[in-house]
Amino acid sequence: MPSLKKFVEPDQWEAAPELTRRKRADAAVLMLCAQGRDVAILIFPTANGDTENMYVERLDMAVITPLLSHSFKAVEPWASRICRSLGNGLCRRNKLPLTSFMSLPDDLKIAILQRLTDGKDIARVEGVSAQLRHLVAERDGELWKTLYEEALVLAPALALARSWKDMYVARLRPSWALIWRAFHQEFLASFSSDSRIRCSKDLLSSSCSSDLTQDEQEECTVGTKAKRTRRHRRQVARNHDCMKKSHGVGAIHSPSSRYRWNHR
Amino acid sequence: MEVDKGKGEAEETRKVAEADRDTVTLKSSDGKLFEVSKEAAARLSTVLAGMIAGGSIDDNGTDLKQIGSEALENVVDYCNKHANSIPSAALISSSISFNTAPFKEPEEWERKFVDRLSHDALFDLVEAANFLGMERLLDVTCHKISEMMKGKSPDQIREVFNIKNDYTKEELEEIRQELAWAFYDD
Repeated sequence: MPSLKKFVEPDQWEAAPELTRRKRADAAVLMLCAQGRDVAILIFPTANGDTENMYVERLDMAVITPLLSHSFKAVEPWASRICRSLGNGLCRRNKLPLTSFMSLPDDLKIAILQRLTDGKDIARVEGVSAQLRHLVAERDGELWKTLYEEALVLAPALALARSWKDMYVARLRPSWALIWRAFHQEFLASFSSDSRIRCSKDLLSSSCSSDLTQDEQEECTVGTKAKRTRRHRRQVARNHDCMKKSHGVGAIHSPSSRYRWNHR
Repeated sequence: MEVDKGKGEAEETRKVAEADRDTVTLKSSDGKLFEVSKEAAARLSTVLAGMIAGGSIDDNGTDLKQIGSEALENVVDYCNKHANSIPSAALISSSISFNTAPFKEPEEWERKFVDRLSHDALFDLVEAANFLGMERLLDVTCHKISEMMKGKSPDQIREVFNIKNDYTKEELEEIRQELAWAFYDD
C-alpha cells in the first residue's frame, strides 16, 4: 500500500527494517495515534529486507473500537485479535485459504478440544502434530483436569503425578501409567520451556519438611494455568485432601519446596 | 448498493424491522451489506452490543473487515433464526453462565444450522462468532468441530482438518508408544 507512505515520515519509513531486526519482531509499528480514522500503521518488511515490497497494514478506528470495548473479560486477548486480523490481511493478499483448524487462535482450539469428553480423543489429537501436542501440554489444566475430575471415581490416585494428564491416565489405566511415565520422563526434557508443570523431584525433596502445619501441607502441586491464585489452589487442595482420606495416598499432597520461601 | 439478506429470512428480517424499526447494517470485508435487528445483535453479540451502546454504529453499514460476506450471512441468518426460536430471558442467562456452567448441548435447529455448512464456512463462522463475541454461536460451532474429531485416528484428523504432520519418524514412534492407551481399545 504505497499510498500509506504519505502518512509516515520518511526517516521512520527507512527505520522500519532496522527496528524489526533489532527487536527480532516480524512487524514494526510506525505510528500509533489517531489521524482521521487511522489509529496505527504497522509495517512488515520482507525477509530479504528490501524496502520496496514492505507490506503495510493500516488499522482503522472501526477495527480497534470493538476490540477495545471488548473489556467484559479482563483476560480477553484482544491484542491477539489485532494480530489475527493482520494475518488475515496477509493471507488475503497472497490468496491463501484463510481458516482451518490450525489457523484458529489457540484459545479457540482449546475451546474446541475442551468439548472432547473422552481423553483418548485428546491424546489422538496430540498424535496429530507437534504443534498441537505442545498446545495440549501447555493447557494441561484446562483440558486434562476436567477429565481427571470426571474419572476421579474410577481408580485410586497416582503417587508421582506431574500434570493433570498424568493423573487422568493413571486413573484410566494404572498399568499404562507406568509405561507412559517412563517415556514421559525422556520427553519432558524436550519440552524444557514448559516450566509451569512442576517437577515431581520438587515434591519429593520437600515432602520431608515437617515444620509446616497440617493446613499448609494441603497445597496441591499440579498447576492450573487459568487458576493460579492462592485461593484456588487451596480449593483444589481441599478436594484432594478428601480424596486422600478415602484412598490413603499421600505423596501428591506434599508442599512445594518454594512454599517456605514464599511465606517466610 | 446491494442489500443482501439471509436466504429465506428476508421476510422475517422485515417483520423484526417493522416491529421496532431499529436495525443495524453490517458491512462485510468484501463490501456486502446485511441488516439485522438491533435487539438481536445486541443480545447475541457482546461486541455489537458495545458498538451500539458506544454509538459507533454506522447507518451506511458498520465495517466488519474481519468477516467475509459468507460468514456474515451465516451470522445474520443465525441471529434471525435465534430471535424466532428461543425466549430472550433463557438466552441471556445462558450467555452469562457460559464460563462457569458446562457447555449446553446445541438445540435441534442449531445442529441443523451448522450441519449444512461446508468445512470452510464452519471455520469462518467460528472466527466470526469469536470476533463478534457471540458466545452461544461459538458454543454451537465449537461443538460441531469437536464432533468431527471424535473417535478419529491421528491420520484421519490430519486428513479431515488438513494438518501437516511435523513429527519426525522417531518422534512419531515415541508418541505411538506413549499414547498407546489411546490408540488401542480395551
